[in-house]
Amino acid sequence: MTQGFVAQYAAEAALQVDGVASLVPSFAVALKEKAGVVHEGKGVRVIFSEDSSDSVSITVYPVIFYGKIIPEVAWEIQEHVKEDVEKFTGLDVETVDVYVTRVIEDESKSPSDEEETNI
Amino acid sequence: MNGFLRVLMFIYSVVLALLSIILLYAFVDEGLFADMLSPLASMVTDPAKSKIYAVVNIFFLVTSVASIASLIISGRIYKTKLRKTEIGSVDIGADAIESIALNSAKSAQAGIKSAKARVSSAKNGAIKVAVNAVLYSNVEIPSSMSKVQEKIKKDIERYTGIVVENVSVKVSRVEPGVAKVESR
Repeated sequence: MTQGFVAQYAAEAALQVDGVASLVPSFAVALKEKAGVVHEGKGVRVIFSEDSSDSVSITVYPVIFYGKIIPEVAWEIQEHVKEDVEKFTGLDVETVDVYVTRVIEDESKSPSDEEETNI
Repeated sequence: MNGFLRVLMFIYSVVLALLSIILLYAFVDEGLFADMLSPLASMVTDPAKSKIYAVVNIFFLVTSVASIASLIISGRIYKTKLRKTEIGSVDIGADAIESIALNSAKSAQAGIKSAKARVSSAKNGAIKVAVNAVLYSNVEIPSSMSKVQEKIKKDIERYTGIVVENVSVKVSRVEPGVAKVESR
């Protein structure tokens, strides 16, 4: 089982979580993409543990919408990714680290934003 | 990209410090310049020139050490570790916190035209936020800026769970133009 294969499942699971805008590819991956190489599972890093071949650690780099409570979204990502990857691949997911890289404004969420300022 | 520049600066100042140490070493061992930099050897032996030589070298050494120290100590944090759950850790990047600060500053409707935010670390895992803002001309700076400070502090604490120690706002410029400030 390759890293990209696991990363695809993890990326899909992370994107399903409410409040996640996208995943940020790392600098090296972005370069690779520019060079025309298709990288599977952007914004997710998968590391197989050294001693046992069927346990992995996953790091997710999400962009989260402004107005969401980041810890809650992050915990949801962790649970979702762990559950999905274990279900689909049968691997043992050791850790899921979440590193929130950016926060962007969500256009569709602006009405409730104004509500806040009027309080 | 900011982080990349910082790394570059760090490398440069380390190289500069090493270079000045090597050149200062010439006072101890005059044979250093014998084979590679023979024109410089006269500077070390000549008493008048050697003073200038020493001062210049010490200046470079001190400034590079100071810049290394400031890069390490007062440097911008890259991420803050929130909490370790049983699944893994949750980190929030400095960019993310900065964009929360910017978004909340703009949505405070206090006449901010544009702003830049910087996050640095404080004691006990808390953070400090510095905002550099360009305002419209019809803004009452003290009252509206205190509103902005409150909102930024409240928003960051709510959205990230990180304690904000202080929020400093610096008004760098005032632009002509009329802001749509709600009268409350």
